[in-house]
Amino acid sequence: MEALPLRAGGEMDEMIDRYQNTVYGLALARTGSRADADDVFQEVFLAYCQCGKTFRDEEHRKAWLLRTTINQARRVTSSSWRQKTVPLSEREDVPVLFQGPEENRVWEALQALAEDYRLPIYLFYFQELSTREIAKVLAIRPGAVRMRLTRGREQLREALKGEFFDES
Amino acid sequence: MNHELFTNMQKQMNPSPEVRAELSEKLAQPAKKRPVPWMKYGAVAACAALVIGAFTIYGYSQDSGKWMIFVSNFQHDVVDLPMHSYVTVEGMTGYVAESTAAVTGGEGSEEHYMTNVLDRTDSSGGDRDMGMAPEDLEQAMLDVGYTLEEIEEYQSIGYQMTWANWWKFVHQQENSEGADPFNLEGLKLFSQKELYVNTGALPGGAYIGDAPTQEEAVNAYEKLMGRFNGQYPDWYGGAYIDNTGTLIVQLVEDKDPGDKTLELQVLDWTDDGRVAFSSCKYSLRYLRDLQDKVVDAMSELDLFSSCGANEKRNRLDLKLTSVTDEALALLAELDPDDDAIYVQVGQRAAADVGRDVREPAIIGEDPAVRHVMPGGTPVPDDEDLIADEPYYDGAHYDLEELPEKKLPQEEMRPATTVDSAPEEDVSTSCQFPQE
Repeated sequence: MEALPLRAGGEMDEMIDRYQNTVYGLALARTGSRADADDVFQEVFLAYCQCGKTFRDEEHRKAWLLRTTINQARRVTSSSWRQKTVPLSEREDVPVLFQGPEENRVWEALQALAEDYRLPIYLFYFQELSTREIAKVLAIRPGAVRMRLTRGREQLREALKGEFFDES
Repeated sequence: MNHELFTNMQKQMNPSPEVRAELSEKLAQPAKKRPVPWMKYGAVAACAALVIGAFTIYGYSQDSGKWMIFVSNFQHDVVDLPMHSYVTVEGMTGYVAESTAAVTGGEGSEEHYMTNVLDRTDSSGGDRDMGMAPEDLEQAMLDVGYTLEEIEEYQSIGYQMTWANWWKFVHQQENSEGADPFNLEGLKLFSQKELYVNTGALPGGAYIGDAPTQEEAVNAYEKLMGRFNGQYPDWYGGAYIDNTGTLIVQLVEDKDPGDKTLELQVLDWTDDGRVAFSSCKYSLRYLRDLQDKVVDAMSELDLFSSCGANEKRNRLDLKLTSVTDEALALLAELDPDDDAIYVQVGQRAAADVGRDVREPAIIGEDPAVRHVMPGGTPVPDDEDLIADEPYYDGAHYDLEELPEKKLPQEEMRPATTVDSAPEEDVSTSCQFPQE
């Protein structure tokens, strides 16, 4: 993997190529809507371009992007303008669809989880972060991450009738 | 755990090419300035104001006295109408002749100043500061044994004897040890010290005291008035002659302190006479206009006694026969800063020169006054102000170390027998001084 400059703002195309799935996936998991995820995706990289920050290493940069993604997603979903102008039914009409039926089932089950469980599950299984990294991104203790993973897995196992989450 | 499934799903979670192109386009545009989070700053400022206010109120609540003052001031400032301050005068006996400018002198007056006073009161009473008519002086001198020749010689000098000074002289001579206390030389000596000589009048009818020493100042004043031609300019706050015989011209403060044009102009007008300058807040024209309004307003309320422009103090001296909230509210409206009008309230005392002469300490001083709050709450009557003076033992005069209990010699000593009156009139040092 080619090294990118640690100062934000340079080599933006390469940067987006490398982290677009990370940012977009987390935004999608958090908001449940492609339209909102599109907004969050753009806002995160615009903020990255303008922040002028110099990162210690790639881990630091990735953690910053994930944290900013969660913040932007929260801002988008909690804005009063959105709450007043976007009907809930309109959002339900545009589901997030994957190629395979199993994938759609897993996604629906994941979206059915409470946010406290959904984000640790997503970051652990989809982004393959360690509990320590998840704790940093979500600003909670590693023990709390492990507890939420356990409870989230139980709920998913029950929703998916034992498929996909038989082993931890 | 199905790793392959999650990897496939993650790969499908990517933005559409349109979104990516839109992002590239936004990144290519010049960066916009990030909006300032005013709401956040506003919330922080409001919280800070709340905390400061809470601490202030908490601090006040620690001291119930302060708290009561705070509540009282809040009620007065926010709820009640503003009221002008005033002093009540016991036996108000100020003597002022109608439409005259007087030069005061004698005991208790360090400087001579000119003041134009309107007075509607009856001047025929026997107030202690009243001037003696020639026939009154003649009769009084006859009563104590002066001959007609001595009286004629004395009156030819032109001393302006007043009743108060006459009785002071009588009291002084009665207590002297000489065989013939009422001799002409003694009276002349007393008059030289205490009285002024009537040698003429200033343009406003003012008498000239200590003529030889004030002549230059008076000439300068006449020249200055000649330049004004009856119309005072806005920068002119009045003039008075101080105890060195210098004419002090008051200049209104709002002119540039570094600009000496006016001073040079006045010196030029007065031919570089004996003139000095002082600054003041109000112009004489403003005070005269204010005087008209005050006289009209107080006359309508039937409270008016007298009102004059005190050019030395740069204020109006207003005397009222009594006071009402309506009058105080009117005065507060006319004088919002509460410093252009000095209000004295009280009835004229009956003439009792025989009693006055037994109290030489108060002759020539301001009358005893009681300061009151605008609401009219007086100092308690039973407060013996002289007895509360700190005890002076000749070596220590420490206010902090005063004994709570009065010393025996203090308790035994009536207030009227105090040998030396305090330098400051304690009855005027209450919490609402006007000066």
